[in-house]
Amino acid sequence: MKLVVSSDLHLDSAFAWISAGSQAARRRRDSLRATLRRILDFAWSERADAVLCGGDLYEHERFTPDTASFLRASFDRVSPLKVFIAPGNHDFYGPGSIYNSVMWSPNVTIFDSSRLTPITLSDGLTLWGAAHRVPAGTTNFLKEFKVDRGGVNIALFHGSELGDLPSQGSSKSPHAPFRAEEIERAGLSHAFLGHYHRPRDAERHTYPGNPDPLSFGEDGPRGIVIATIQPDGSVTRIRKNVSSTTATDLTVDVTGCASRQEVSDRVHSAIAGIKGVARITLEGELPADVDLKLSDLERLPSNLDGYQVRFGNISLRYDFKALANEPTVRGQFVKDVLSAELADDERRRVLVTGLRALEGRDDLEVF
Amino acid sequence: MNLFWGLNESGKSTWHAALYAALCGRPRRKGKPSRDDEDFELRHKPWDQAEWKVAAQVRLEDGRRIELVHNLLNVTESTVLDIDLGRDYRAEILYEGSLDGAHWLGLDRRSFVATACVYQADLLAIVRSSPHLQEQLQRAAATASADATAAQAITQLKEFFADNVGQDRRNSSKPLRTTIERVERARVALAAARSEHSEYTKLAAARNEFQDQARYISDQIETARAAAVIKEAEEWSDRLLKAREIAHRVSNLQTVPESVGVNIQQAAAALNSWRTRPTLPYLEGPSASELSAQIARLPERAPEGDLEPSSEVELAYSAVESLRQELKFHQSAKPQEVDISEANGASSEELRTLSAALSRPQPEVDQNKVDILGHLTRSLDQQANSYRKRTLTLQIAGGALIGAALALLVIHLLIPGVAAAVIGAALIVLSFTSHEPERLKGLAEEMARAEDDVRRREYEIEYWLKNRNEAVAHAQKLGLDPDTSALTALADKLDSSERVSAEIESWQSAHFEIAEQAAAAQERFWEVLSTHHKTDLADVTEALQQYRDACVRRSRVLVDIERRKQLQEQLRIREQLEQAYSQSVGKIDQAEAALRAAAKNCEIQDNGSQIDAPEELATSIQAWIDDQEARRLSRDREWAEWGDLQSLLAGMKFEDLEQETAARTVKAREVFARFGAQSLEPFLTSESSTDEMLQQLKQQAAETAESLAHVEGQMQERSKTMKSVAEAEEELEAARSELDRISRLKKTLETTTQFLERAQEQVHRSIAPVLRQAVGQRLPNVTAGRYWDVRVDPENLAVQVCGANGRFREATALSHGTAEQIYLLLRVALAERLTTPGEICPLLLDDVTVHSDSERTKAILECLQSISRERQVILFSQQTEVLDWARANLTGPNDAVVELDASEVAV
Repeated sequence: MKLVVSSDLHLDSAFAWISAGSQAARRRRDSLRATLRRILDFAWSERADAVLCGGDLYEHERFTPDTASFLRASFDRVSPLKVFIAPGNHDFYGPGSIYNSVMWSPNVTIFDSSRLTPITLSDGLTLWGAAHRVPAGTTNFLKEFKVDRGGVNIALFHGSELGDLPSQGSSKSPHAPFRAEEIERAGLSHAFLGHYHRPRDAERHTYPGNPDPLSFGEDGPRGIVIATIQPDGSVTRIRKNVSSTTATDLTVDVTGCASRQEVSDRVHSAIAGIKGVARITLEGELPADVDLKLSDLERLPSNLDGYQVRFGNISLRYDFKALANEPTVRGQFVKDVLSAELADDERRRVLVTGLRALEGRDDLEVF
Repeated sequence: MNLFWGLNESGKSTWHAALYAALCGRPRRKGKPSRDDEDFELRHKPWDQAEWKVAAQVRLEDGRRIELVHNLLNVTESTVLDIDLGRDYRAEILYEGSLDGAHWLGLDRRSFVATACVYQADLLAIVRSSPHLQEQLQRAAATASADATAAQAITQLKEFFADNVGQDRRNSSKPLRTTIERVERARVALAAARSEHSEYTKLAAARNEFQDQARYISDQIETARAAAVIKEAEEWSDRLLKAREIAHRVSNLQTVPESVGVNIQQAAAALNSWRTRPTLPYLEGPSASELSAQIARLPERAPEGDLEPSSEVELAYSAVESLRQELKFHQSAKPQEVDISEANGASSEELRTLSAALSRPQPEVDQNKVDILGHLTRSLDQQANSYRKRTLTLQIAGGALIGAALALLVIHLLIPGVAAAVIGAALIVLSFTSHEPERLKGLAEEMARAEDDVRRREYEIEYWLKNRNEAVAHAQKLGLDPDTSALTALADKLDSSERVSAEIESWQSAHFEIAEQAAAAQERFWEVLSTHHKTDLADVTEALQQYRDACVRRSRVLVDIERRKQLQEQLRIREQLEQAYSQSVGKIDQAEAALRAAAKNCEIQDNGSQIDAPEELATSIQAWIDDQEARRLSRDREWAEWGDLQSLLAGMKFEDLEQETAARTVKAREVFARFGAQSLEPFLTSESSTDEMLQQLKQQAAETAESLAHVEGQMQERSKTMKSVAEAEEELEAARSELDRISRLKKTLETTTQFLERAQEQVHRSIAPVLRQAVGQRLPNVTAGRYWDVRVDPENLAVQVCGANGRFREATALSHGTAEQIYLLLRVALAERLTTPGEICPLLLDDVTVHSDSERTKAILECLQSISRERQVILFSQQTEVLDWARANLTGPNDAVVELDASEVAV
């Protein structure tokens, strides 16, 4: 039995880091849709027996009617390839959810119970699935659960394996929490899961991770999992990248640049040839007279779909200690600011702004 | 002091520029050169050589001797080496990418130009454009360079704030306000998008519910139809059974006479008329005629005008009253004037100047130095006398011996004679070879210096006495006591008087303004009142009261009009009641007559006599009717059953009815088996008929379908206009991000401005007395005692000087020469102030006297010579009189006069 497993696509997600009003965010959402089609096309071409979706296929709070139509048409397009969906906390099975509103094609099965429910995939192979029916507060699906039949039993749901939680970052909430050992205890050979965006291949459970980048800093081979269920219940897994976008996180050292044009040149040189979306963090030391603003670098390069520039640890080449010894207004100013109770970042901005004003410069907005 | 003298084209300015460049070098070029740098290169770069270098050796106060070699074309190749140790000091003076020796002085090449390096005619420039030099010096004080002044920097920050942040005020078009509004718009848009989305999901949920409901109702309709089949079968069975029973009961039917029915109808109609006869209405209160009379006494029309005082008028009056009270209060707060006649017309500044002059302590004779001078004089005299006596003795002895030797030689005593001559000559030579004259010369020089000190102190005492006498004379001329504290107290009183005068003026201005406002308020009151009320009164309060009284009167009339309307309504009701009363009496009479006629037709009698009381008659008629009705019902029941039987058979024969009933029973059993008892039970046990239930279900199905269609229509409509929540969130995030940026910029600019203003204030407070002292200590010397005090405003470096009359005057308003000298002193003071402690900044001056007349030139040169006792002064000049002055005066060990030859300058 060959299964194509995915989760956490998050259709209709918001991309706040992309400049508002631009088409980049909309293109990012279109890319997520393209990725779903790539997943289904791949499953179709690989003659997979079924596609499993571990939840957070879309975001309930943001979905558009167009997304509902898109999902229905996409799944209908691959009929009779079976599609099983276990709704997650973002796409919970509620009264107004897409799952409850669309007349799905017969190949689509959506688990709608908050308890694990069985579906026979083939003789001797049972898929147990469950749904989040509320956006928060869903409890452990495996608690007091035990399969009631023989053969191979596998599960599909959206939950948080508590042993993996620390590696997912502090912002991850433990929806439907459980422990890995509960899978075996429940009589399940394997569990295919959604919720964690960072991929994880454990002995008895698999997190495919989000197949298309949602933010920067995502590491690990994300994508879909081609899982083959052997008659003895063992699972072989192959990961495949199906993303239609790449997200590149770059740090550019601007030390040695003498003007904003040189900084711009260095940034554009660093992102030349990169596709998809990119985030650039500028670091290093710049001469004090460089007039640089974020808006100078915000023009979207033609080779990218989305682009974000931010200032990291950048210092300006001033000898504050020497300036503080001057018997001048400038010296007094530097001395006062250095001894004032200010946050380091604010102190740097105040010092540079004041010194630029004293130099008669009009580039008084300091990054 | 060093003078470089030469005629035109002898290279003076080149030497001056070379000295500057040898110390400060040139900035490393990045992009387009500055105008000054471009001009420097144009004027001084060799035309015919590829190289352009300059070198100098400097000695720092810490003893280091350093050689600076600047490659002015490629500043990265410039070197700075310790002459004695060979150490490289590049790191100490690297500035703007090149070497700058001014850094040892705590300056840089630009601030060095602003203070210590004066170009040709720069001193004269202050007379034509003093703000220019002031600004240059301010920049040096602010930043030790030629950047913006502190005041300009603060202005720049505030203007930048105004353009790039702005105030959070309504209608502002600046970034802060517009971004706040953008955030608010985005927040509203997001809330709207979420609300729309929520509504959409609710509609979707409702649609799902309606769909479920429609499916359920459809199932129920099918079940109801099945129940109907079963019920019909049961009804056919009942019908067959009932037909058999009726057929058995109905056998003998009878008819009744028609007249009985007519009498029953007549009696029932009469009885009904009697029982439904009207009751007489109850009449109380005034009659219609009495009410008409009351109405005639009340007014018909409402008066014109306000019924209650208008708020507009009341407000106008309040404004008048408020301003009256304010005027009264203001009158009571008038300040009292101060008598200043005793000052005899003198200004407070004049009095303070006199007080200061009188309070200045008298310089004292330095008795120690006088004693030293006396001691030196006596010592010199004694040693000179002793020296002269000793020399004379030796010379006389030597002469005597030579004379004796000549006598011995004459008498041919050769050996003694030669011996005597040699001894005599030795004594004479000895008298001329003593070191005593050099020692006496040194003593004489020491005495001359001591004498100079004593003379200087005498000059200061004399100068003090002169000033004091002038101050006393001036006070007496003003008719004032030349007492310091009295003059200061009088000056304080004058200042106080000025303040009080200003307060009175301010009070009068305010008084006039309030009075104008009061008059305007009163005028406004009359204007407003005239639109509500006509009056001949002139007093505001009386007119208002008159208006209020008129309003009260009009409101009372209005009450009477309301009363009239109430009475008219009461009259209308009373007239209707009286008419109804008369009609009811007629109807009762008619009913009684009909009752008696019916009794007669029905032959109703009691014990053979007629009954008079209408109520008793009605009871008897009712009993007769009931008896006749019971008989009729019995007959009708029999006929009805016969009709029922015909209806049950519906034209069929008994056999046909039995067959149809059997077929329906079979079908009902089939349906029951299909749907089951549980589903059918509600329909079978319901009291409602199956048709009714089916009708209800169909109605529900239609309503559900309609609701479903309605919801789906709404969903379609919303889907066309729904805003994307994700896009709204992105816009809000972008707006918030922009607001964060502007808020951060706002805080930074405000904090920076605060720190800069504070720094400016602190530096100005500290630098003012330093500059005053530095300039003031040289001022009497360079102005030959004409000015002895000075003020320097650190904010704009404007200089004021004070002379014997005790009044301060702007330096730029003085003669050219004096102003030049004063600003030269200010340059020196700033150079001292800005120079690193322990180092002394030299002065490089190029033809600073070229436009001065002889007297001024001499004054400037003497000033420079005085300054050169403390620092190196290098002066370039082409004037012969400067050369002559230098030859006569620059004779000290640290002085030098260099004459440049124009012929040696390469073309």
